[in-house]
This record gives sequence, C-alpha cells and structure tokens, in this order.
Amino acid sequence: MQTKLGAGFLLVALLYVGVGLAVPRFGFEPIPEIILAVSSYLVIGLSAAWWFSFRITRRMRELAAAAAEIRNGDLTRTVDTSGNDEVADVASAFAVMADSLMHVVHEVQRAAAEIHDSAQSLAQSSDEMDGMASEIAGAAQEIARGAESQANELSRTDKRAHELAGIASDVAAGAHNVNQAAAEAARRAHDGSSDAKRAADGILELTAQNVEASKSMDGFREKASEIGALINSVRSISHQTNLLAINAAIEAARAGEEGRGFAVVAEEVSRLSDTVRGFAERISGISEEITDGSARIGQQFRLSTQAAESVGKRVNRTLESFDGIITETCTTAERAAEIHELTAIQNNAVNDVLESLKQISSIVVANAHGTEETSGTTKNQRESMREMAHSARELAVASDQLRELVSIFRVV
Amino acid sequence: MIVNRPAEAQSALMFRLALRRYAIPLRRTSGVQDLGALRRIPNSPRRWLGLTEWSGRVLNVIDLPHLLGDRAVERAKSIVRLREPHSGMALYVPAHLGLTELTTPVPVVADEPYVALGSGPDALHWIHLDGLVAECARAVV
Repeated sequence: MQTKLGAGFLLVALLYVGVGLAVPRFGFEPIPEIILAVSSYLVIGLSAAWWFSFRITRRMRELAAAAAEIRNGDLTRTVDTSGNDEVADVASAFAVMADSLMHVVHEVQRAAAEIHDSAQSLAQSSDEMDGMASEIAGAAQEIARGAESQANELSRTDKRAHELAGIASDVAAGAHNVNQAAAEAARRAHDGSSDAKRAADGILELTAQNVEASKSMDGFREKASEIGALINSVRSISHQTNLLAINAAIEAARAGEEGRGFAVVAEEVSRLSDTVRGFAERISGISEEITDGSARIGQQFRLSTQAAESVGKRVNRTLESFDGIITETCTTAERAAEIHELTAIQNNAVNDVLESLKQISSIVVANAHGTEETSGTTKNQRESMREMAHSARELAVASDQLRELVSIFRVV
Repeated sequence: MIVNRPAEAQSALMFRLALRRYAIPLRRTSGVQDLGALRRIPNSPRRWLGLTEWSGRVLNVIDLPHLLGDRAVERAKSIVRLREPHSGMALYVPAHLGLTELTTPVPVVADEPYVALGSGPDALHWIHLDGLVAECARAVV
C-alpha cells in the first residue's frame, strides 16, 4: 500500500510538473494560465485522490459487503484475497475467519441437530422409562399387595395347618382309642358268641321240651274230648230219662188217682234227670274249659316252639353276626393301628409344612419389604425420569432454538 | 175280658224259651219224644213245620216258638203230642221239658195265646192250648 501510495504521489508529482511545464507553452495570459494550471492541478489532484481512495476503499467495501452477508448468515460468500497489500491481508484473514466461522457454524448445526435428535430420543426414552417405571411401580404395588395377601394367606394356611396338626393328633388319639375299643369289642364279641352258643343249645333243649309238652298236651286234649263225648252220652241219657219221666207223668195223670203215686215217682225221676243233666252240663263246661285250655296251651306250646325255633335261627344269625363282628373288629383294630401310624406320619408332614410355611412367611415378609423398597426406589426413579424427560424436552427446545439461531447461516 | 176260673189241671209240662217260661196242661198231652224225620210241605205256613211219624201215625208238627213270638236257646228238639181232640197234632218245643204243679187258678184272656201267672222274669205263662191249636189247625187246613 505504501508502495502504491508512493507511486501515486510520484505520478501526481510528475503530472504536476508536466502541467507546470505545459501550461506556459500555451501562451495564455497569466491569470488564465494560473487558472488553467490550478484547475489542472485540481483535476489531477482530485483525480489522483479519487483514484487512490477508490483503489483503497473498493476492497474494504467488498469485505464489508462480505461481512454483511456473513452477518446475514451466508457463510458461503468468498472474498478476493489476491494481492499482497494490507487489504489483501485483511481479506485473507477475513476469508480464514469466514471459513472458520462456517466450519464452526456447520459443526454447531450438526451438533444442534444431534443434540436435538438426542434430546428427542432422550425425552422419548425418558417417557418410555417413565412409563416403564410407572408399570414397575404398579407391578411393585401389585407385588406388595400380593405379598400382603400372600402373608395373610400364609397366616391362614399356618393357622389351618396348626388346626390340621391338632386334628391329626386328635385322629391319632381317636384311632388309638378305636383300636382299644375294637379290641374290647372283639373280646366282648367272643364272650357274646359263647353266650349265644350256650343260648342256642338252651333253645334247642327248650324246643325239644316244648315238642314233648305239646305232644303230652295233645294227648291230654284227646282225653278231654273223650270226656266230652261221655258227657254227651250222659246228657243224652238224662234227656231220654227226662222224656221217659214226663211220659210216665202223662200216663199217671191219665190214670187219675191210681196213678198219683206213679206220678210222684215220675216227678222224682224227672228231677233226678234234671240233676244229672245239671251235673252233665257242669262237667261238659269243665271238660270244654279243659279242652279249650289244653288247646290253648298246646297252641302256646306250638307258638313257643315256633318262637324258640325262630329265636334259635336268630341266635344262629347272631352267632354269624358275632363272627362277622369279631372279624370286622379285628379288621377295625388293624385299620385303626394303620390310621394311627399314618396320622403320626401326617403329623410329621404337617410339622414340616408348618416349618416350610414359617420360612415362606419370612421370605414373603422379606419380599414385601423389598417390594416396598423397590416401590419407593421406583417412585424416586420415576421422579428422576420425569425430571430427565423435562430436562430433555428443555434441551430439545434449546437445541431447536440453537438450530433456529444457526439456521440463518448458510454453509453450503 | 178277664174271667177267673179254676185251673184246668194241677200238673203241667213246663219249658223255657228265650224270653219267657211257659206251661202246658199235662192232661192235654199224650206223650213226648224227640223230633225224628220231618217232612216239610212246600208253600206251607211258617208255623206249620211239616209232618212226622209217631208210632206208625202221621202227625202235624206246629212251630210253638213261632206261634208264641219267642225263640229257642237250646239244642233240644222235642215234640209234645196232643190228646183228643187234637191227637193228630204235635207241638215242636225246642227246650228242656220239666214238670210242675199249679195251685192257683189260671185267668183266661180272650184273644191272647197265653196269660202270665205272676210277674218278673221268672213268671210262668200259661198257654191257652185250645185256641192256639184251633187257629193253627185252621191255618193247616
């Protein structure tokens, strides 16, 4: 620049010299000559000044224009960096600055886009994690409620298991009692069977005696019937005697006074016949009573025999029942012993179950506590996720704003 | 109308049916025996039991309980043969026969088959044999 300015001043000086030398050669008056000289000097000076200033400010204006365009965001604008003067140096520095700025802006845009995308992804991930945390929190609450329900169920199960253990003990005791009772029943059934056998023998003997007594009573009834037949004969004889006496009385009445004595005899005979008839009736009544009584006794003997036979059959069935009872009571005793052993095994199993339930209960309680802690942690995590999502959204907004800010720069 | 007169006979044939005791004058009878074979007559009156045989003679048997309106309680089947003028007739008396003596006069009541001698359940009823048998004979004829 200094060289150019020196050359320019030298040229202007040469022009001034030339003008000073040329003007007097025209022959003008002094004044017009002066005016012409001055005017020529002015023209040369002004032209040289304009030209120098033009040469100097033109590139500065170009830089200013480029800066204005860069300011407006057009980083693609290039400046002329040719030359080796100060303006060229400024232009080169401006170009380097613009290039650096374009690179920075490009990086900023890319970074902003990446930040925006990352913020969006982060916000989305935060939302998803918040949703997942919400589900985890819900699940943790469900698990907590389930753990509580499990604890309650375990408590009830434990109570039922204790009751079952008590019942098993009672069953074992009952089975033992049943075993003893079955043994006692078997012993008594043996005694009953022996008594029933003796009763059966007694009934057989009683039946035989009844049969003999019934036969004797039948013979007695036949004798009583014979008495009745004899009484009928006596009654017939008495009747015929009475008719004979009446006929004698009739004949005596016909004979009148001569037959009076005969009438007395006939009357006595008739009275005697009445007496015999009365005795015959009494004997007949007694004979009928004896016959009826012997018939009833015989019938009672037969009924007694039938009843004894029926009782004998029942006693025989009772004997069979006693045999069955003995067998069944022995089987019952064996079953009761087996039940006693099984209930002992069951009691041990129930105790194992109780121990397992106790352990499970402690595990469930621990799980419940862990779940509650997890629920609290998840709650805090949700809060963190929400804050993170909120921050990501704010970051996305900020990145959007940054992108919007740097979007004014055109780098390609 | 009641007329008091002496008893027709002192001796009487006595018997008991279901309701009352009765007596027949002994002198109006000719004998007693058990009822043998009886021949019933178709479409005959109820009081006429039928025909039977007595010592080779046929007798009309009259159902005395039916005539008296009483009924029998014993198994006895005696008949009492009457004397003249009713010698061809016999009274069926299904009761035990006995003898008795009457000392009181017997009242006669017209149109009545018998009259009570005394009162109470053991009162003796005297049968008016003529009127009873005559009416029965008319029915038989």
